[in-house]
Amino acid sequence: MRRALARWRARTRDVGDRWRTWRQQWAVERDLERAIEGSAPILAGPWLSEVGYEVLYWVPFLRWVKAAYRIPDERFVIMSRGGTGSWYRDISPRYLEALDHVSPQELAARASAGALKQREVSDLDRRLVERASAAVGSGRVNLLHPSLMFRWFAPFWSGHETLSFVESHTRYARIQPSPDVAVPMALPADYVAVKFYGAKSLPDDPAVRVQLRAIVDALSDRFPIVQLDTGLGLDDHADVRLEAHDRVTSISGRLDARTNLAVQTRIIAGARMYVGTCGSLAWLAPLLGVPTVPVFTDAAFLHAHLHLARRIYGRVGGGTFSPVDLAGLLDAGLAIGRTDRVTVGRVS
Amino acid sequence: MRIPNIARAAVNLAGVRFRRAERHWRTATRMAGHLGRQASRQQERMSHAPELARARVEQGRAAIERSRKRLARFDDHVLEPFRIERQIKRVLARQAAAGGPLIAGPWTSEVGYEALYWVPFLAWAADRYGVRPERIVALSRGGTGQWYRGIAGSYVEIFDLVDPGEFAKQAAAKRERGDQKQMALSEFDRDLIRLAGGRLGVRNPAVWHPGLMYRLFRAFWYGDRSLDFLLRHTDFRAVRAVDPVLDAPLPENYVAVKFYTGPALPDTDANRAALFELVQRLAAKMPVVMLDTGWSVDEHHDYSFEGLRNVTTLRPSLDPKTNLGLQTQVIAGARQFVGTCGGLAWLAPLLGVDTLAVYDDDRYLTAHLYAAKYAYRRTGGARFSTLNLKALRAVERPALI
Repeated sequence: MRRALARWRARTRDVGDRWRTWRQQWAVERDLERAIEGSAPILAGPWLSEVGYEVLYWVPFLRWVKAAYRIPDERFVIMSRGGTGSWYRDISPRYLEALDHVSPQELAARASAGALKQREVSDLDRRLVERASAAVGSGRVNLLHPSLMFRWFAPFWSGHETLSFVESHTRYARIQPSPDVAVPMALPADYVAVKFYGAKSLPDDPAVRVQLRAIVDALSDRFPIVQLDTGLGLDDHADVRLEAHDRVTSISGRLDARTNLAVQTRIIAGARMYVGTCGSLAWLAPLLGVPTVPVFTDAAFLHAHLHLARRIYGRVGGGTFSPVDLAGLLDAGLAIGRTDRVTVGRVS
Repeated sequence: MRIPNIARAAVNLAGVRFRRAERHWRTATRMAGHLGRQASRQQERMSHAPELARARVEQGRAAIERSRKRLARFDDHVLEPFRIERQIKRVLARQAAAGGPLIAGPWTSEVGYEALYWVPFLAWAADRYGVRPERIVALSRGGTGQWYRGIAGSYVEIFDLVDPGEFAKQAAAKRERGDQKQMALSEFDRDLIRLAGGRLGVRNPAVWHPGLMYRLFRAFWYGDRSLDFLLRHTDFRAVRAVDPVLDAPLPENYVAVKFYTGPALPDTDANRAALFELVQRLAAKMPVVMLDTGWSVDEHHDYSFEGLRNVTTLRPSLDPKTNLGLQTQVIAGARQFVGTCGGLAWLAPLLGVDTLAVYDDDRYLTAHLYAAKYAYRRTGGARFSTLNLKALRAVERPALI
């Protein structure tokens, strides 16, 4: 009897959980339909959160919205930061730069306050929407805010929603870099793009840094390296600064915040390989057709993203995506490259 | 009495009339303007009418299409898995309610699915349907009885019922039919159940067949069921192994290594070279115990690492009846397990042993990696890390030091 009661309770809980998830999804769907109704321009953004979520979820989600609701290009106005217009090229040619209206310092402060994910419309978002409306020159714009996407996919990230749910509400496609963006330095003919930054998935500790330096050394034995250390500090991730190396070219101090992501996109697109922390631009590189080696030591916050990434990159004909889990190697007392010639560098 | 000023009255009256006329004129002008604007708007609307109508029709079509897709999706991804789940739970309940021994098995497919899904599924089912361990008889091969400890009170060895050669022949025939997973009860499975029943002295025993697990979790592997669904239908528990009984003693500290070929780690020159180097490096740091069997009952074959120093092999101690049990015991005593991502690599973290699972191609591993990494972390298993040879080759050659 007790077992039967426990089974019944478990079943009721399952159905209850499922029902709650569906209700949340229906609510998001209603909000989405409200956001696109009418014929006024739709402002998609302003996107101020992490690059990874933008590339892996937001852009494919907008593609799906456009296709599923048959919205013409001219209705969409994209607002993001760092010159990422080319990522949205097949959604809309109208791109507004958020950093024209907000200072990089303000974004950095927001990030360090822990408000990076746009789970709701903030005062800063409202201010940007006003500026965007004025820039569009239309009396009224519909707002398709990133919080909608964060609410939509949150059950997947927590393991409560299926992969097929994400796949059926996104459209993945290859991305082309903008040809109009100038790279502010001469690049080697055949290089590897490298970007390591401290994150939960790759803590900036001495053992890890030694290994990262060894990887860079191993790569630089074969190819010139372009290190994408922007030095801008626009988010909560600090670049891991590796010691100066004659085969490593740094872009630090050469980038304008307004175009930094556009420039990095071009540099990655021209590279023979991308190696970096698993996150941020590592999710973009395969979509640019570049073989990618994302590195991490702790996959706790990556499970869902890795699961999705492994499924989609092959399907869109992107570059190979071959993650490296350093933790297992370090546990086994092994290392990639020659760690004996490496000294620990300074943390940025 | 004042004499009325007729002239002034006439002027006043004329003024009133004039102002009224002026008001009427203004009203009429305003009305005319309004009507004109309305007419022009109407005209404009009429000129855009086909376009507007087309847009409305298009929007309507899109809404219908969306609804149709939503319904189809709901049926494929929600109703159908739900129907299957209900069917499976009915079978589990019916078999649990039957009296007498309940055979869990026969397990004749891959080791990995057994360790990662079947055993945790059985643990969940036994608890959910209130079947005591004394009733459950695990029917598997290779001496895996210790994997079922706490779930099944007894264990029947398949290789006590059929010859390993016959087993390998049946497995090969199933592979040729493209039916390696035990989705349904096969003739061979029926024979094994009958033979196990005979051994237990029971006719028509209750059976929980692996097909129940395969059918329930297939939707998860295809992405139609959430991770939460999998975790709600499994109970990952630590596996305790007894000390191995071997002819030669094992080193005090060692790394257990098992590399076999498969889709995750195909037998290529590049992989062979990388694995040889990896084992060599491991052996330079600590004794290595190779869990190679030297024979095979499925499509996987062990990689060979002949002539390496500080490497011992379990090969002479292994026989088909006990090989998996013995390998389990050796892994449980190891400092670390390093091997192909699959098979025993899914078990090692549950034995409390840090695991480095190596692969070259993760195409068929995505769902399993997702499930395993999350489940081990949640249940306090040992660390499960992966090593991607493709990435290693991309970064450096020679790869490891």
